[in-house]
Amino acid sequence: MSILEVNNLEKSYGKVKALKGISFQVEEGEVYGFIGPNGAGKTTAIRTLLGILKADSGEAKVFGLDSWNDAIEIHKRIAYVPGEVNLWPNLTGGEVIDFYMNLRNENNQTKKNELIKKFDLDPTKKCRSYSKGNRQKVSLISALVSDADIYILDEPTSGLDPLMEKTFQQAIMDLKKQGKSIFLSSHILSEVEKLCDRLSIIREGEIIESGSLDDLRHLTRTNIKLETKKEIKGLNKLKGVYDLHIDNKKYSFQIDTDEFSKIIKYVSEYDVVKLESSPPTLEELFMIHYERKS
Amino acid sequence: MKDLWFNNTIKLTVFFLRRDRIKIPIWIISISVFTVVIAAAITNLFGDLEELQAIGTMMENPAMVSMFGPAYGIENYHYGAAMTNMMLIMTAVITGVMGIMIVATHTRGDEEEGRLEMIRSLPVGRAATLAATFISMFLTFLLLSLIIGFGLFALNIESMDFNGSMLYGFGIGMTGFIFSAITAVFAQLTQNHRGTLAYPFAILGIGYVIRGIGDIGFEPLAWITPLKWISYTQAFVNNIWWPIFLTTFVGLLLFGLAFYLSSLRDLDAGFIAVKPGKEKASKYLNSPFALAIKISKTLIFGWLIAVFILGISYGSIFGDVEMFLESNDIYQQILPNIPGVSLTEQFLGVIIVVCAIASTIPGLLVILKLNSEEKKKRLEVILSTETPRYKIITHYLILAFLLTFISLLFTGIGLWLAIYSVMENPIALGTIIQGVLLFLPASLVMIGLATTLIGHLPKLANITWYYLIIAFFFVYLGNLLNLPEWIINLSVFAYIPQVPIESINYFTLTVLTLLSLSLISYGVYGYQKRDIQV
Repeated sequence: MSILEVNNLEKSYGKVKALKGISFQVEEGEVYGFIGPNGAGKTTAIRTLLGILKADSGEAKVFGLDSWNDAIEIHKRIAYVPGEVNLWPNLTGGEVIDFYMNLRNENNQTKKNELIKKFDLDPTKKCRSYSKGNRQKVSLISALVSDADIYILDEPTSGLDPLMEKTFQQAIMDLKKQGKSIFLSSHILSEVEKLCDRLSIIREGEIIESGSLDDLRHLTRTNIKLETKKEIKGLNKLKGVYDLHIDNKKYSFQIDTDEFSKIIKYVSEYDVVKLESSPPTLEELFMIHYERKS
Repeated sequence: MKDLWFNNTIKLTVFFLRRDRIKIPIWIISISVFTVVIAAAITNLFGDLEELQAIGTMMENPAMVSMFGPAYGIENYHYGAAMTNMMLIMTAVITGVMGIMIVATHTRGDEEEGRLEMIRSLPVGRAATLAATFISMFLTFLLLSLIIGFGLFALNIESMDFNGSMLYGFGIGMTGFIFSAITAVFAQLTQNHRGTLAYPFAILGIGYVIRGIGDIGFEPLAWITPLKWISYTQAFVNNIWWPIFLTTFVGLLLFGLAFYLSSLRDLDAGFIAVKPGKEKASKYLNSPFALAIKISKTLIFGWLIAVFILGISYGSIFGDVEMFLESNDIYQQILPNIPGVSLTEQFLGVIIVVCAIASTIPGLLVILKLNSEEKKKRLEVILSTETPRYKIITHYLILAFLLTFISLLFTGIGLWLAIYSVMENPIALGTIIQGVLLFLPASLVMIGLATTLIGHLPKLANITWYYLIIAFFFVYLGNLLNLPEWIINLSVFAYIPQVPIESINYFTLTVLTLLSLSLISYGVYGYQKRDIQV
């Protein structure tokens, strides 16, 4: 059974279609990335999964339960970090964390104090005086302290400094080791690349690509840098070679991933001195997908 | 099913009350202490029952009825009757304000700020926050009702019996409750915190004015506002309880409506649609002054219309006042006979003070907006440009000044238009406009006070509102309650002569103007020196 399951989910705000029938599944124990630019429908999808918004049609299931009708049961086993964290100005960060824990019937003080220490938060300050990053920490600690089965995180590192980002990533790895599932919406692609097993790319309310990072890479091109003793002839005529630059027996180009072995065979006859092959970064993938579809 | 809608309501209720652990007690203590102190004072102020009877006669005058509500029990006017007559509606209005402000923050306020989203992701029922609001407000106002009821009864004043005291207390408390309910409905209908405040405030304010007109003219009209209902209880005189049940019942119905509406809508959505705005800025949007106008547009037009209507409303009662005074012998005796000044013109003075204080509000709103812009960190970017600080604050000050001036003018014109159409011998336009504009120096002192606070103690700038409310009460009730001169004189509005009864004292006006200029300059000076609020 999938932990999260979304089938043909549609949601409109008046005339604006925010979600145009999206589908994806998150399996137990995996870290799932959900990427897309602002306004693509990420937050709407998450809020529908949380049963905060009611879908127009389609299915959104968490733990096999309906996200709208069984919201309370679901909420007992999930932890959420919203995209924009606002807290009550006259309460301290510590009070807010306790309040959230209280609503979840949780009381693991040791774990809480550990996290507060890890994230270097001063819980005695009133929320009105917190910076964006500190409010984010309150929200992250509240989520991480809970013993949930899935953690739904909407842009969790926005406002965090690089050190705290590292702490966050470590915390996610720990959760993964414990077999927890994580749904991570983000547009910091290096983070998704580092943490996620599989991902979906959403654009204007539609999922345009889904799969593991390797799957997505297969659909795209690999960057090749090559140096040979002999000059290669006819490289530009080979099937699957693109964007070729030649500078005195130094070649850089991109190849279709399926044509990899043929091309390597071809160039090996020219006394290869140096060969670098690098898969595209998620950022490149993202750009390629975006450009292709628009 | 119950879980899905109401899970964790109790914890949220506790949290609601905890968040307001200071705010709610302050409101309750202020309102109940205010009530009990005034009730205790009334016996001292009118020691003489004959004097009280004379006041009672004065309260029958349409001008007074429009402001305080009908005077019940005039045949045998005792302390209890006077208390209900003078204080019930005013205190109920303040309690309404309390209900509106608290509920708006906890409903749409939380939702707009995104705090509700987080709560909703927890094992919390869909309607649990609204249910917590309902329970908290019901308990709060029940407590307020009981404190006032027992407080009045404990004074052991002969004419204030247990039944009447409780009725008085519940009259005030349940007005707070019904306005909480109205606010809860608008929290569903509108899409932002501001609208959730604005509509109920409009209902409260317009209701007060319409009740005034209805009570002296067409009475059924007055019944559209709960303020009329609770004044009909006639506490301490006839002790009628059914309006309290009506108010509570309608309050419950409205909360029910709020629950229903909230079940229909999405988080962050409303029923009153928000129109898309302009794509490009107008070429006139090129200075802090233009920006101040732009962001205060609704406030400016709303208040100009409001003070104009206020003028018309109060002007419209002058026909009745004229008739009443001509036919009432006792009045002819009480009021001093000033040669050349008609009896109606003497009432003009009181009415003008109220209109003038109302006309001070929009200017204050504008200058205090500068402060809230800063608090919300929207000023940072503007300050990072080459625009100097003195220019920003001066532009807001110019707008505040112009707005105050125009508001006074508008309210004066409104007064005159109505007076002209209802009176046989209308008061001259010049007299009215002069009377209204004489308040400009006092209004400027208020703006000066706000500016000084913004310049030196920005966190306390909102104190200006409390001063305005207190000033209003001293002038409004001061003479009626025979407050000592020095207390009334704490209000800056008390220094303005009420023409045409009093003669113009140019020295006082000059002093006030100089005072306002110094306060403004001192404020502008401080504004350039201090740290920006972070």
